[in-house]
Amino acid sequence: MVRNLIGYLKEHKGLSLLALLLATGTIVAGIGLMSTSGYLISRSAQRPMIVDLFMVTAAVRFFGISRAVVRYFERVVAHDLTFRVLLKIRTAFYRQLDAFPQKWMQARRPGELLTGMITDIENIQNAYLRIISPVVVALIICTLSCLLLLYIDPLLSFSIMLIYLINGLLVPMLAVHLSRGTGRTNLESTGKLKVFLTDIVPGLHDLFWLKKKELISNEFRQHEEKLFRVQSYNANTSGLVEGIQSLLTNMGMFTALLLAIPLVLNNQLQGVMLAAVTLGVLSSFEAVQGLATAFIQYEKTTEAASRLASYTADNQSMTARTSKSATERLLNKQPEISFNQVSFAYDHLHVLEQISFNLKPGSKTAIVGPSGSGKSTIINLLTRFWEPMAGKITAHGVDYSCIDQKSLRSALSVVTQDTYIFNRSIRENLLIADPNATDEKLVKALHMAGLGFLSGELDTTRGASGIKLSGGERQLFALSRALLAPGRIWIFDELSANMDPLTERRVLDSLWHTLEERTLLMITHRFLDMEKMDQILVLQQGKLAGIGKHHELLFNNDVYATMYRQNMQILRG
Amino acid sequence: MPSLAKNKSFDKTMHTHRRLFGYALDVRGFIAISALYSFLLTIVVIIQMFSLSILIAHVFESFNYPETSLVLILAASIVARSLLVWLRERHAQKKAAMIKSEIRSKVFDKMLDIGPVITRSFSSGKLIAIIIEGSEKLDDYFSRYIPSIIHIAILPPVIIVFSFSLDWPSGLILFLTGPLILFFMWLIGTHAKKISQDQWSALSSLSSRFLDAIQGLKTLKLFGANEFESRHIETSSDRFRIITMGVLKVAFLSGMVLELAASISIAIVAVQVGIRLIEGMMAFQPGLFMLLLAPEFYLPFRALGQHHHAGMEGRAAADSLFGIIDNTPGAVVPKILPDANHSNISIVCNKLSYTYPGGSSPAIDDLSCIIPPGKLTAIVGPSGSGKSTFINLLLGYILADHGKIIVNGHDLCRSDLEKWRSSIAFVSQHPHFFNGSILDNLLMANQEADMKQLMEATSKSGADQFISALPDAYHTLLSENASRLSGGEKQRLAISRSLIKNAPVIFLDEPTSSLDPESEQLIMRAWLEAVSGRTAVVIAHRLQTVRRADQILVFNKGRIEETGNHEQLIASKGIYYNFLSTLGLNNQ
Repeated sequence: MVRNLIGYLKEHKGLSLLALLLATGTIVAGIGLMSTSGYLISRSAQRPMIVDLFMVTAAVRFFGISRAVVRYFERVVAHDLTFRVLLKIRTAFYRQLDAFPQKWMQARRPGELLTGMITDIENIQNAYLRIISPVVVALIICTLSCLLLLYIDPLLSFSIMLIYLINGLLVPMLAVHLSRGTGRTNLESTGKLKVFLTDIVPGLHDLFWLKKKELISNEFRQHEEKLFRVQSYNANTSGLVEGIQSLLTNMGMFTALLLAIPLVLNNQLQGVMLAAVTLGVLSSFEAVQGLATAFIQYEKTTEAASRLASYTADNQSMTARTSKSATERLLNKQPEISFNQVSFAYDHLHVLEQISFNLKPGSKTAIVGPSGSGKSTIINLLTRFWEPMAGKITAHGVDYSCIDQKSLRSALSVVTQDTYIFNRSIRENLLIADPNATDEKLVKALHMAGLGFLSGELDTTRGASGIKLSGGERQLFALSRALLAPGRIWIFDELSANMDPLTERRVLDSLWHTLEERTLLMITHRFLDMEKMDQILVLQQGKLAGIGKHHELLFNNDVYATMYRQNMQILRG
Repeated sequence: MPSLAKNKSFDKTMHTHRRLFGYALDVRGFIAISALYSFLLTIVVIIQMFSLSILIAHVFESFNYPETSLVLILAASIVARSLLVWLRERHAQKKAAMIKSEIRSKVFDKMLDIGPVITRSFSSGKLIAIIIEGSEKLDDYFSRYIPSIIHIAILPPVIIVFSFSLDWPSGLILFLTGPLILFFMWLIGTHAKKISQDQWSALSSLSSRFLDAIQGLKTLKLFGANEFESRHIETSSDRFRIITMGVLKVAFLSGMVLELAASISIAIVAVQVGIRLIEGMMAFQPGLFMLLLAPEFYLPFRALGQHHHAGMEGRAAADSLFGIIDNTPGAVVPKILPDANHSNISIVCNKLSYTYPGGSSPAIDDLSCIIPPGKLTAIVGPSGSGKSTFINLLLGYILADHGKIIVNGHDLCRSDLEKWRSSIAFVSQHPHFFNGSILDNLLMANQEADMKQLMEATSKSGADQFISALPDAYHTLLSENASRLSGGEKQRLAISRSLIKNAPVIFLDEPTSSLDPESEQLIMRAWLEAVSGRTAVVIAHRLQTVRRADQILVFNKGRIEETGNHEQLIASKGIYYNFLSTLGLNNQ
């Protein structure tokens, strides 16, 4: 990633160089302002003709104004560059995320993974502003000022160079070391408090009748006390780096003064230059001031980059081996899909074991089974987010691994349990399924899914300020999206899980009405319309416990019969 | 109207700042010692620059080595200055840690006060983030922003006083430009606020679009729209860049004005000192001293500019922290509930109403009912009809806006809630188990329970079967809300817990979906065990449960529409009958 970053900067060579030049210019102007001012006052004390000082006075004014102006342009150019780089990083990263949903779905805490990723990208996008620019500018300024001082006196030049090195290299290394230590202890005790809260907060409703408030309070106090002690201990070292930097900066000036005095007295340096050199050296230390932050940031950035690389690594396997002819056969077709002895496991847990079934074109299939029996895994395999560990899935007789994901998915219209609704307008959300759909078509899809009330709100944005959808409505929205998609195989995972019985009935009726000759695969908890299914797969603990029509299963499959009867006992709401 | 709204938000901002300052004032010595450090730092800076100017002037004018004592004073002042920089920061950090800790504790206490209802407005994840990350955002506010304000109140005035006594024209320049810079900063704070808001909203909409696209990646891929989206990210990012840069160009201007005021002022000091030197109106040393002092004078302004962002961020974080602290739980005046024997607690609800904060219609609307002692009362109704809200009211998690809950003749609002909760048990749809062993979790319900009581409870609830099958049996460690147990196992364990508590009142919320066939049977038995002989209220989702209930309350839109037992309600062919008909259950 860091290497990529430098690549992106090279693409904007002119802009990068300009930004560096301006950043250097800002500090040069600062040094110029102070040293010419020092010179001006010293020279004035010798009471020359006012005309003799015209140039110096102009220089003082020039540096005074240019410092602010150059810094302004530096900030503008650097930010523009950052945005351009950010754009490249984001797009490249997004393109590489191909296999990400799989890792994501298997992640323990997908939300944390995601926010971590966004923070990582932000870290990298700021690499130019916070790392590259300060380091390069410091190198330029230090070299220039050492060269200038060399012209005056070698000893002076070497001494200042030494202080630059300490201030620009050793101190930042100390800063990194300190921040590692404090960062770790802080992270540990924050982590403990977080574990405690994660245990307590979601269980408040049970904690209240189980435990006295004082007891919980005391427990919190103990964790809090620990964190507080760590943080106030860490405070000892905070400010240490700033203190040392201040010491070295002023010591640099002090050294320059002490070494310059003999030069003046030996007539190697003009007396009027004494103030100029001292003040110039003092202001030049501005260049190394930001390096401590840059070093700390560098560490963070490389960590972020390697984490990001791990998200995008090893995802080549999914896209390789695509057969073009097989893909073409699938497009706009309604292929027969077959599972042949398919097994799947993750985290060493068998989720599916040797499952076989066929989805004939136009057939209607239901999958039932208790939660955790592997129903949703079948959907993830069907949509090729996951690959079977053993066995084969074929479409139209062609092995799934030979079909590219995109054309496979164009044959499927899917409503998953975790359908995402984007923070965009209703229209944009629907157009994802069919970019060319007319408004008329969109409205029709909304009506079919029972979301007619949204048809006048195509431009409203969903989200915090816009329309809020309930759990059931979200699923209906997902359904309307699936209805727009061209796929001739409909796959619904727990479509009606969050709906009340009336809505559920209405939606199912409307579905059967529009289904026609399409293939249907429905995962359900509720055992509705079972008699309309051509086949019902009964899953139990990852195994196929039965397959057949409703009435057959009711008579000869105990698992199915018990589940069915129990479900008929459940009131909804 | 818009100006009014703006004023309101401005007032709110100031209010938050004032409150945060209040916290800073409450910590003993924070402000005073910070001010002392700033003052000492100012004095040391003056000594440093004064001795430096004498040194240079001496060498330059009398062409002679300076006195050693002068060199030593300069060196000492440099060391003292660095030491003070460190101590000042250390002090601020320590106090910031104290304040953060205090605010975290306050938020946590409030969370315990208002209880589980708060998770309605915040997810647990969000709540934890507010407590932990939110309080960390206050760090820079207290350790940098406030000290930099203190510093700006001390260093510039002292320097002005000092320079006026030494060289009034230079002092006048500083005196005039200082307020000028503050004026510009005020401009940033008010007039330019809109600009910086635009800037942030442009930046955040750029990132949120990207976040959105990643969150929805699976959905995009399902529709084959991910390639289209990545092109879209590219074009929209570039459009956002152009818009944002337009905003930033203006936003940076205010920073430039600040910088310009400082650097031009230094230049003016230098030039006017130079002119007066030529004219012979002043000596070299005071002139040089003024030039050395000028940059130091402007440093605190620049520092405040740098920490302004920390101030804004801290304020925003404080808003959400205060948002929790400011939640008012109903005033609970402790009054001892009469000790209740088993099975004789009756609950009477009299004209209860409750509307969730921000809710448009009442969740419970003028509801009255009687829950008889020792009997099973079942609640049924469509989702959103107020069933859970009703249970939350009975548990005392929320307090009714109007109406009363009367327990054995005593008004619940005025009773001691802790005491009330000690006489109830609750089995929720999603029972929570805490980190620790199964035994620890069971004992939470009753610390005094012995092993015999525990075994009895687990065998009654049918939990003993799966517990003894675990390798560590009762010592099996549960973590992450017992993620290794199945839904049915959790239910059985939760019922064991409630049996161990042996409370006279029990509230239950049946799972809405079916569990595995084996669990269903076991759980039904466990439920009956749990409610027998107790005053029981159950949100029922199973026909078996309602048929056994002594009383069924049919909820709809926050009211009770029908009351009676199963046979009575079927016979009356009302809402209950229709409800069952939709589900095809009315024939039983």
